[in-house]
Amino acid sequence: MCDSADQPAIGRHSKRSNNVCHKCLAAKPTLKIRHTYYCQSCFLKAFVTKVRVALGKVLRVPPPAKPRVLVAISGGHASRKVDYLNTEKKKFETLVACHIDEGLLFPEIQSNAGTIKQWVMDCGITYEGISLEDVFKREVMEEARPLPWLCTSPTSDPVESVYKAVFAHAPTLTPQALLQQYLASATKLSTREDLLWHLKQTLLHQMARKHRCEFIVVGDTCTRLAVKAIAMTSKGRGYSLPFDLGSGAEWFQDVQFVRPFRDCMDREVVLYNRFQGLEAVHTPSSTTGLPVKSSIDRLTEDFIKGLDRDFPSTTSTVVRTAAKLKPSQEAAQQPACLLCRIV
Amino acid sequence: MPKQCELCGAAKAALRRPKTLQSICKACFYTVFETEIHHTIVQNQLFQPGDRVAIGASGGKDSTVLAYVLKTLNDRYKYGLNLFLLSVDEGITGYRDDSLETVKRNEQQYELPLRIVSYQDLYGWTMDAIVKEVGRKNNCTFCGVFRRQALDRGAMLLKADHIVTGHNADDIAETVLMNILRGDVARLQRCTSIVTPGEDGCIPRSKPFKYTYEKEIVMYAYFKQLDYFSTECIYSPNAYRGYARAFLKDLEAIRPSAIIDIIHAGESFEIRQGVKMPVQGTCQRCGYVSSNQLCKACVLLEGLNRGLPQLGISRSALAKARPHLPSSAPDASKSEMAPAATTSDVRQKDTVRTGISTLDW
Repeated sequence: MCDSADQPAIGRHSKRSNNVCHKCLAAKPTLKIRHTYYCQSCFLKAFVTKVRVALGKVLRVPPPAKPRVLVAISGGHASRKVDYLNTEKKKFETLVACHIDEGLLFPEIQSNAGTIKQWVMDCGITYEGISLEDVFKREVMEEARPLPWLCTSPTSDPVESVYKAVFAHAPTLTPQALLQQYLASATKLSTREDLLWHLKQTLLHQMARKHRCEFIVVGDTCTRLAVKAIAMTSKGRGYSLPFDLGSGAEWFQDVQFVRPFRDCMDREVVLYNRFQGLEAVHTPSSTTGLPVKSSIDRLTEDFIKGLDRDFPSTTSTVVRTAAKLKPSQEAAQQPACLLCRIV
Repeated sequence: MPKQCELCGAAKAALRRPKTLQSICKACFYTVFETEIHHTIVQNQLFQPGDRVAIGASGGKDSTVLAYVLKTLNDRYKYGLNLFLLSVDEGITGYRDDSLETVKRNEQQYELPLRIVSYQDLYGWTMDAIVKEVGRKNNCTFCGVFRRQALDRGAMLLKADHIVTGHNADDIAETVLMNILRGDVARLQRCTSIVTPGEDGCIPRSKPFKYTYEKEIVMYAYFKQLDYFSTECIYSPNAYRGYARAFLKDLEAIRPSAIIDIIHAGESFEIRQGVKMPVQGTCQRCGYVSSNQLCKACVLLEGLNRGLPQLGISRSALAKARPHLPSSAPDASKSEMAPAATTSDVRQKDTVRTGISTLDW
């Protein structure tokens, strides 16, 4: 079928035959990830190992303490694999799965919150459901206790400070109305996507603080991180890339992000779920069904995925390049932004 | 009813400024366009009075506008510069010979002395001959590497103190994106600097159009009816760069400030400590600035002269030729990939030694 065997051997992997799995060197390969051919069982093993190693590298605390972990679940392919944490449950002090319901943004579509809750409950993990508009609820903020550096003045209470800054102009509005007003103030779709992203990050932080978790596990894949890196660069946020795509530990001190799928492409995660018979739910985004040029994030996604088809190492190169950046000294000394929590 | 100019309010608007989307008249456009470049030059202290400045002139829109604007500003603001046009003849029949005719006309129009240096004289090879050897796939590597040195050598012949090139904001934004996509952290850090300092005998070179949009340059050239040459190079354009360019144009359509935003992002990137960076030295053979023992131009030239044109481009060709070469000269972007993993491994081992438990997954 393929005449590649007749071609002269060039490059790093020249000695490997493409007719057998590159891992076990016995079975017939069924899929190709980057430049490597795998059989199904080898792929599944390699994938699980990769994710476990990525998790194990980061989820480390001084003994005898155990890590307290919050897992962010959107219902998509990457977060569908929450059950892998369940098998290791005894290694955690706290394990909470948090789903942010964006139902208010898409009233015409039935919410997936019920299905996701069921998955989580089936795994025996504590479920924490929260709606996007809850970010404007005072009690949510009270529970989370923002860090003192969010104060607008050195003597004021952090919650009071944030509350005043955000709600001073609209004390009587419901959280739903506030969210709608807030998003309507962004006239461009790219800006609205940014606001939504920041709100979700804030909510995850608040939930982690509520449950006293020091780690937030998110399902960002290599593909998604590469898209984010290029999109943020395109929006002029070069200085905050290390905060937004890294663990954020240097900045947020009490909570850090963990990305076990950092080295996996979207395709790998989808294939894993397919082989394992795991189904994901479809969660619409602001640009679902819209043309490519409708927002910067959407355009970047199309660009990176297109490039990755022709040049298969693009995404991992972008992610590795972004990992080599550090927050600027200047940024760390300035007062923080109330919205994105960065200078 | 036609719109009034948003800046002066007096004349009719003639165009929509790509950078700010303001409707402005021609006179205001000329003023803002030229003043912005003047501010860039003054704020970054690009020149000293009495400097001999070589303008890299290809005959294209950017360099033609650069020559015209620099001459105008030099007269208007009394910079006290001696301006020269410097062209490189790559030896591409049907492209460079025509564009050089344009530069020769510019020489008359702007009354600036012109110097042409050719690949044939400097390296003994024209691009036509190189393409015959290497094919169309990697010829841009040769052309780009040789041109950089050729400009420096030409400037030395002119006894210039400074070289200016017509790189515009779009070009720089595109380079930032390309360097991220290629993982070239060393270049990522320096590609946004407006002036490359002249160290080790190199002549400083700068980009006065760093904040000037390509669209505005085209508009300026069009309204001023400048004489420029607008044909793409006949040898294939770089496919990978083409993707980045198309992406940037789409981004600009969504948000015009995206180009400046990318440059700003590029300026704020800081490289983490411990990331291996190439150390700049000088080429053992020609003395030009280089990260390896031999500069890229010498490696490429050696390949051409020995009948191994892939040398300096493909790894396997390099490996075969390695015993004969004093330098391994690997590609900078590739050599930087591995160390990141190594550093984190070392850090992990250190942490394990210090008693912090690693979960057994």
